[in-house]
Amino acid sequence: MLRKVIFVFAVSMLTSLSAGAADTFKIDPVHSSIVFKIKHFNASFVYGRFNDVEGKIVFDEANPAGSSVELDVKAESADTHNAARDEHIKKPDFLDSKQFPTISFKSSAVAKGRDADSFDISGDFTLHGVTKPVKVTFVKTGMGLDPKGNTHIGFEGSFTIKRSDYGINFMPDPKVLGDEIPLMIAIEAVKQ
Amino acid sequence: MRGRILPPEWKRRPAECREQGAWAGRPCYNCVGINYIVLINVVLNPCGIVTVLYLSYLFQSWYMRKAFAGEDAAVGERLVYAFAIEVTGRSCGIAYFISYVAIVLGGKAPHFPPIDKQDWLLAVAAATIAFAIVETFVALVQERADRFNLVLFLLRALVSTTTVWLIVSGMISREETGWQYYAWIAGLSVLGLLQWELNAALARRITSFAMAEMLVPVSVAVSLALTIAGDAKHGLLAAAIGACAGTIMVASWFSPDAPLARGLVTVSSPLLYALVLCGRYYADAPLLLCAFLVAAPLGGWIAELPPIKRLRPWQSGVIRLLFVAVLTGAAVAIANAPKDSGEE
Repeated sequence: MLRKVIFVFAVSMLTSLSAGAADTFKIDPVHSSIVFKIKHFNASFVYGRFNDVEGKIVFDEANPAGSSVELDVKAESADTHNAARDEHIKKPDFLDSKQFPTISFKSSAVAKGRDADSFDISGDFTLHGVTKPVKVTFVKTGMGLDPKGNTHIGFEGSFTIKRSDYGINFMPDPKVLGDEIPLMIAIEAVKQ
Repeated sequence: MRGRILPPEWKRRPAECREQGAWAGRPCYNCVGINYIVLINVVLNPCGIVTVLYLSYLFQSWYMRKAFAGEDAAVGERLVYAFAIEVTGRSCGIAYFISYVAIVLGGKAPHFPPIDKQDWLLAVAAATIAFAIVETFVALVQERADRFNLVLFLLRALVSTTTVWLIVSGMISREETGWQYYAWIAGLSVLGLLQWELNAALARRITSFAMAEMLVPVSVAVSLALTIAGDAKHGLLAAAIGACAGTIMVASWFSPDAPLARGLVTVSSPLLYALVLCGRYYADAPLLLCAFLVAAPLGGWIAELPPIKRLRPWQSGVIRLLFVAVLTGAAVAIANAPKDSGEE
């Protein structure tokens, strides 16, 4: 009897941790971060983040091609730790958050990456009403259980965009504000 | 001497400037520190187009007066009069149109046209050019003026409603539903129509020089207010209208009898209103600021009040300009007012 109980428990643990065939995870906005940086006066990088992110991940470790990622970020949630700058970033000079309230990423193909636990994801990135294809390498940072028994999974990746490609052309002099914006995405998602 | 004063990055070559492409804050300055791409797109381009079409007007009017001399002089005068409206309306519309294309394409903005809903302002500009041509026709057929004035009114209503719908419907629909949504669209359309009608009526009553003189500070104020509010692109486009108004002001000085400002009003009224709407709905410009900007050109009516109209023309002109200056100055002051959020 004890063996059966241990066997069933072990199997259930394994299935929950290994996230078997195409599990769906909902992004946990509290433990996810989307951080960006931009060069200022050709001197230093100013960092900012988006506080409001949602979306889902369909993850199939054995068959990465069956996986997908959808991310929606509210442009209004841009936060650079300076109220005046945050206000300006949301105006038509930059994000134009009234007209384009959502920044999004939707994967079109997922493949196993070169390194262990890495995945090469191709997809469409939409910013300022302009959609362009991007490639991102995400690394699975881990998987664990919370006290309620929910499975959490974590990914991290980064890619760089040119704001001019997305029609954000205010202050284009790279000696004033950089054109390239590296984006760092750290996601925690909960299995549904 | 200049080389020693100016920082090295101000001495870039044009090729490098074209590579970078942008519409605001462009880092391309000439040897005296003037941002020449912005200067060309926003000031020289409108001034040049208006000047060329004004010169063509002078030639045509000379030819018509000559061709319709003698018994047909009245017909010739009417043609010249109508042609003045058409030329100025068309030149301002085209100048705005080309400035827009230059600014947007120069900025390497993708998806043109339209990059976004704001690019429908081009459609508004095209509509105003068509409108100027219709207005010319109406000016020609004076004996049926009443009937055709109704046509003009209906066309203005159509352009106003379409402008409002294109620019703000998406924004309103997120907050208002049902009859409130339609009430907002209708209200803003009526306001746009009202200010256009009043401006057009004013342009018929006062000299072209006075009307253009009033529209220069108004356009500059719209430009400054939008730029400060965080919408530099539309700020530059308002400046392009200001450049048209400035050129027509100069042209009116040389041709005081030509109704040049009527064509200018045909373009500036709907476009400045559309730009103010963009400022309000996309850049959160304060409501009072927008109200002042829309009301500013209507300040010209103050000089039509009986006690002021009895004054000498230069005196009523000064009062009119002062009134407009107060409204536009207040709008810029509101835009420039320090906010609680501190410095960037």
